[in-house]
Amino acid sequence: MSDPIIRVENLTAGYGESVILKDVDFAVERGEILVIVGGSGCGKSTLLKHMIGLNPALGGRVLIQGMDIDQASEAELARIHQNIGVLFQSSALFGSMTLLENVALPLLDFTDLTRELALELARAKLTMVGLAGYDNHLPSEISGGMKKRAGLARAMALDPVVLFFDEPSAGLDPVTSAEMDQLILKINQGLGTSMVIVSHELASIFAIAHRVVMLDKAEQGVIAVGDPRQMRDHSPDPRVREFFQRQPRT
Amino acid sequence: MLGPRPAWRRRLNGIHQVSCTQEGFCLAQANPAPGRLELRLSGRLGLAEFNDLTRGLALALEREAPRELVLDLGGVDYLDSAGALALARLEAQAGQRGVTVEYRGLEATAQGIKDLLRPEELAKPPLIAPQRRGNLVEVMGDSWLNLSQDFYQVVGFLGELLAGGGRALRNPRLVRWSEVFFYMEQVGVNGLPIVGLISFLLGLIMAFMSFLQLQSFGANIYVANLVALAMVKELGPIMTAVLVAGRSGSAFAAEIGTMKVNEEVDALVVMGYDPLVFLALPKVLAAVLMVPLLTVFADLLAILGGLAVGVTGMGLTAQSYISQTLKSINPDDILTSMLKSAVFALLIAGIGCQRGFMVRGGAQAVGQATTSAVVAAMFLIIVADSIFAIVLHYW
Ligand SMILES: Nc1ncnc2c1ncn2[C@@H]1O[C@H](COP(=O)(O)OP(=O)(O)OP(=O)(O)O)[C@@H](O)[C@H]1O
Ligand SMILES: [Mg+2]
Repeated sequence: MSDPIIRVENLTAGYGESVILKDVDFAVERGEILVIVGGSGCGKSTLLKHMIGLNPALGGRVLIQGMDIDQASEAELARIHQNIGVLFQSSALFGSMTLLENVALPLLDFTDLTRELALELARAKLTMVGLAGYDNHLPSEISGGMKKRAGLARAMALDPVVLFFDEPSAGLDPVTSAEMDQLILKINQGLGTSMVIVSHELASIFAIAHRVVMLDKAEQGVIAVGDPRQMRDHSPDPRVREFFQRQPRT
Repeated sequence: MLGPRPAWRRRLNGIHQVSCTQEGFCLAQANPAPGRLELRLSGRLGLAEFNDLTRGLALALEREAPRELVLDLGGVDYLDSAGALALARLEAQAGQRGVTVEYRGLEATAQGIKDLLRPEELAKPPLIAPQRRGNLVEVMGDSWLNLSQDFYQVVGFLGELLAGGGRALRNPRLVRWSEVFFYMEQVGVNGLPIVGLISFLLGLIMAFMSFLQLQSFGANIYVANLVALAMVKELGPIMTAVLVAGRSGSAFAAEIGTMKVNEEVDALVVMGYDPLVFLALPKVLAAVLMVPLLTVFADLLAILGGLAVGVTGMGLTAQSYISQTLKSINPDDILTSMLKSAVFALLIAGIGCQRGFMVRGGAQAVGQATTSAVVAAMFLIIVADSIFAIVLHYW
């Protein structure tokens, strides 16, 4: 039971010919909140896409619950995908569906709930992210921060084992952002959901991260792994301290 | 996934009913005092159990009709938001019947999950009603109303477009000529193969069909007239326009529509550009320049198709077919044919861009705009062609 839920082994990440990250190697433990940080354009979203199987590995491999995501058969991949939830950087809500329909979609298709119960559960998820009452709104009718939260509600629809977030609090006001952190912590503690989160928000990182993986663009890989406070105060690497102390590059 | 069955089953006194689902949760019922119902839950309360759980809880509440309800969650080893919702539903139902609810054995984490679902929030009605699709009569009425509105918008847009074109004429630097060349390639050059092929086949078919009729009068040679006249005066411009509408009108609508959805058009406006001149004008210019040439190309290939039938099937010489063709059409016909095509091109590209700018919302709206651009373009082509027919007749 205690083996890591996700293993990234010597992964080379990138698009086709162009390599963005090399030799990335880390694991996500069960029930852990792992935060991926790094400067803009260093490949955080790219790494996330590899971890959820959208981009095939250029080298190395990614194991989710012990299964190599690039080698998995269609059926295995479908099962993996039902066990993970993803919040994309741009929310990726379906524009032709209302928020309720967006959240209810996986519930209707992948569970044997009755329609009524599925809709009620979807409504409950919207409530959890603070969007009670917005059932019938279209994604184009709500604000950017609300889209983020609706995307989170959809990602959580099936109560997945692992949740991936690409910048969950970007575009949220400080209060909503803090509430998002609370929500993340509650889900993590209550449901034991493992989480992989890409984030720039220092306050949020310190509030939620169990462990941080820091990427660097020049290095094309991981430059530090560990507790965020430790990294801020005691990292031997100036790049890491600068990031966590919010200082300009020296 | 489940641990060993909880030990309370042996401990409990006064239980008169225990029901367990195959795998997942158990629900035990006890009545320690009259009017007091104890429900003890154990195992998993998750998404997979949601159906059974809500049914079981509602049933127990209904059958026993207690005044006080005690929910013992001591044996629960997994609770997720679906389980929490099932409990919240039970609470709401109990509240409606005036039954008090008391929790026991609720761990902090479970409490945390339960807190995510605030009952007053859950009961909140939707802020806006779901969109209702009207009945057939309403829909038809609506579409007629839309049609007339649409007409105003299209005319307005074409007017603006011409005004923009006028400004560009006075100040040619306004036009992004690199874009014009790009779209000239898209509309014209890349359209050559399909336009050519279809026209050639059309000429072939026309010649063959008319040959079968004219043969009996010994008037084979007039096949050349028929193909040339029909193509140059009518079919060439129309066929080309229909193909361009399908190929390029739709592409323009999709391109501008997607830019609209991504707020790229808004970005242009705040950067001080006129989206009409920036986006629409190059496309329209390119179409107006290229479609007449495409039409001439289509005419030529259709005549070539007719020639092929004439030479192989009807015993005519290439020379006689060509000279007959040349006799039947005069340069004026070709000029009006090109003028017609230019007008069609203006309509196709204009409506394509207009439909693109009309897009509101998301991906689906882009699809609708694309369809509508093609349909409206076909309609306008036919209307314009009828007008041309009448005007040219009385010229
Ligand atoms: N679809 C793509 N094809 C090719 N290269 C890409 C693609 N998407 C991103 N890249 C490149 O990969 C690198 C990393 O991009 P990525 O989106 O992963 O950055 P990021 O760390 O998520 O940045 P941000 O914090 O700004 O979101 C960038 O240099 C980018 O140019
Ligand atoms: Mg990113």
